[in-house]
Amino acid sequence: MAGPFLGMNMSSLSLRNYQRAIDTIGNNIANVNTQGYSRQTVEFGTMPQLSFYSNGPKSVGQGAYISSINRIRDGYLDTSHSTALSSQSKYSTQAGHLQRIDSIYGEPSDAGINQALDRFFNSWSGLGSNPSDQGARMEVRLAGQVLTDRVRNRYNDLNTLAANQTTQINSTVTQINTLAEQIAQLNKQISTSIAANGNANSLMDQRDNAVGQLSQLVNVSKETFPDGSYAVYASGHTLVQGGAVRPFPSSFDAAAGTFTDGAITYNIRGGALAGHLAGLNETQNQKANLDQLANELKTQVNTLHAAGINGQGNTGINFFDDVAVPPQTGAIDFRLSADVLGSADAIVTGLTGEKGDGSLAQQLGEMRDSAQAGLGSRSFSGFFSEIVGRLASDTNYAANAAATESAVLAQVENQIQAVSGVSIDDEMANLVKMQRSYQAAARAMSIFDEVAQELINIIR
Amino acid sequence: MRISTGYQFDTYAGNVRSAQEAYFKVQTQISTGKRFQSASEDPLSTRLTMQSRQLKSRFEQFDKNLRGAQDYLSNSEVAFSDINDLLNQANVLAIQGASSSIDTSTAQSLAGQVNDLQTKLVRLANSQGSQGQYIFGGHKNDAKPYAATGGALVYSGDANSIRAEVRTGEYMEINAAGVSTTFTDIYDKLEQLKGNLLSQDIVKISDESLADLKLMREQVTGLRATVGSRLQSVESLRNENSRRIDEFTKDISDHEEIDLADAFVRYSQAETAYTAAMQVASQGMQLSLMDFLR
Repeated sequence: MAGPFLGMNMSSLSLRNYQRAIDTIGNNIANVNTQGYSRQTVEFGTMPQLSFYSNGPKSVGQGAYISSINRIRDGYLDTSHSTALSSQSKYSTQAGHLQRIDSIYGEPSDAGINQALDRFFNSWSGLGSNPSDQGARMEVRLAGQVLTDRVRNRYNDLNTLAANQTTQINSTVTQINTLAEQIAQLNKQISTSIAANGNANSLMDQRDNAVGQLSQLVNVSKETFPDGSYAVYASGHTLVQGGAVRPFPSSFDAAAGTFTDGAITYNIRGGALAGHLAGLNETQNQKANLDQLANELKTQVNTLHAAGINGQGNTGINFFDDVAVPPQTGAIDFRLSADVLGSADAIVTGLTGEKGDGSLAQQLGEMRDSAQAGLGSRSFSGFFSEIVGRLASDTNYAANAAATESAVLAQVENQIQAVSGVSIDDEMANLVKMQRSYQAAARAMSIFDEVAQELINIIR
Repeated sequence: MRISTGYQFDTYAGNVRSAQEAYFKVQTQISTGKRFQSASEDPLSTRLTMQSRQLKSRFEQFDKNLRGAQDYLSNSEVAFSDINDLLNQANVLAIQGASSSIDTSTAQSLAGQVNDLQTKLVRLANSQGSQGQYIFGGHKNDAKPYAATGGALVYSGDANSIRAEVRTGEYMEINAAGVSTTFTDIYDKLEQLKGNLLSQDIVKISDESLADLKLMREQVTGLRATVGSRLQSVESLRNENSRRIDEFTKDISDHEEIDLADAFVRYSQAETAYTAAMQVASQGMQLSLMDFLR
């Protein structure tokens, strides 16, 4: 039955509605700096009409109710964001690792392996041209020491880096599993909350945030189920399904860029995990390169050196320390032989052992340009320059790719911000609107009250 | 497009940061003088500059080799010049001895002087270089290669040549290989002259000894000419080296170092951009609808 009380009821409903709307705006403002927060809006709906008779059936509105409090979010942008995040994180992680290797080599400089190689072969040319010069002899030994030290130290640095990268890979896997646990937990809470409260806006923000963090670690795809829960796949591995977690496999192959649980091999294509794997692979390749360089130096220099006779009348002297039976040990123990380390006089300059014979030293000097079968028909410094050049190009590529992916990511984040981000100006305008509406509703209420008063006063 | 508050502030911060990065990069370039700090910043220049560095160090080594050669050749030149003087003195003695008016005691004194010259010849033949090596001994240069035994000069060195690398794989012979024959010949001829003086054989002195000495002088002159021309080529190679080294240094600097004038222009550009970014941010940050609502 329509009467003044309908109006009062309607007004009090409005007052509560606008109060909720102001609360929502307050919540938006409070979360303006919250990472991953999506702004919320209040949607109003019209109450069912009330029918009455006035020369025929008529109906009148009964006011508004809150139809929903929405979280403004674009699911398509979330997917783009996840993909961009994975790529950006992969390339920037990879670039970081490559830059570290690049700075271990530290080329071009006067303190690098390249300079040491030049100096080493040049010192032989110097000794060959002046075999009686004790200074030239000391220079050969010193140049040999500098060369072996630098190769060995760079190798050790690479070893440390590789160990560090392995640790990072393992801790990334741990982080992935932790996030998976979080997402599974949130899945459970969300489905419960939707059933009980109609929405789970802040939990959903938290879960999307966790998926975003996961995308930084590994390439991720997801599927939404009708109960609101997600299934999350990391590089094809089903990581989370509803409330259940299947931990990410832990054994990996850096050269192939894969993880395996024994039965299935997963190709890691994105995220920091892919960057770490690529970094470790490059470090291992560089270690192998230095091994190859050191072994070839040992073989070639020793073969010539051992063929000559030194001033002490000895033959068969090795210049670099080497093992008698292959396999050779590479860069890790690349050093001068005990004989040469003991005395520079053990250094062989010629085939006859005469003091003025520099023929062998000259041959060793000429070795700088000779193509070595063990180095793919490149000279020693040619081989090393190529290592450095290729590494520099790869690093440059990864850094540029990281910059490009960052730009793509920024673009997507801007779009997300445009849709979901809180604007204080917007919120202030809405706040004023809601305040005015509240005031209007309150005024309407008092008028309805006066009307009711009038009605009551009629009856005396 | 809807601009959220977070986006607005992030953008200001991002713009200020990237302007600051650009500003800092130019600052680093100016303060280090280097165009790039690591190989990956400029892979192409790295390759080129590594090659230039290699060639530069190689030419610096050739220059050291040439300095050694120059030293060796100069020592040889001094010895040859002394031997030439010595032959001239022998010639004077021979001419004196060829005169019919000399008596026995004069002849003996002349022969004695020739003997002194022989001793001097042995000393010169055993000349040592800067590192104490015997420069006319071939490869066997660590012991005196010449000794006078029983009226003859005996050579215990070898005929191997000593070579210095002056260009990649190119060598210059710096000792006079085969010089030992000339030295022993000179000693023999002086021995003959001494005998002729002692026997006062005027005919032999004027017919044979004087002619022999002339021949020997010619040989020594020939040796000196060889050494002299090698010294000249050492000189010209070294000149060329310093020019090449300069070129490589310039190459390296072109690839690795900044052009200061250009860097300062970029520095002030970066500074302007940085200041502008901060100005815009500070003004934009102050604007808010709240200031207009009452």
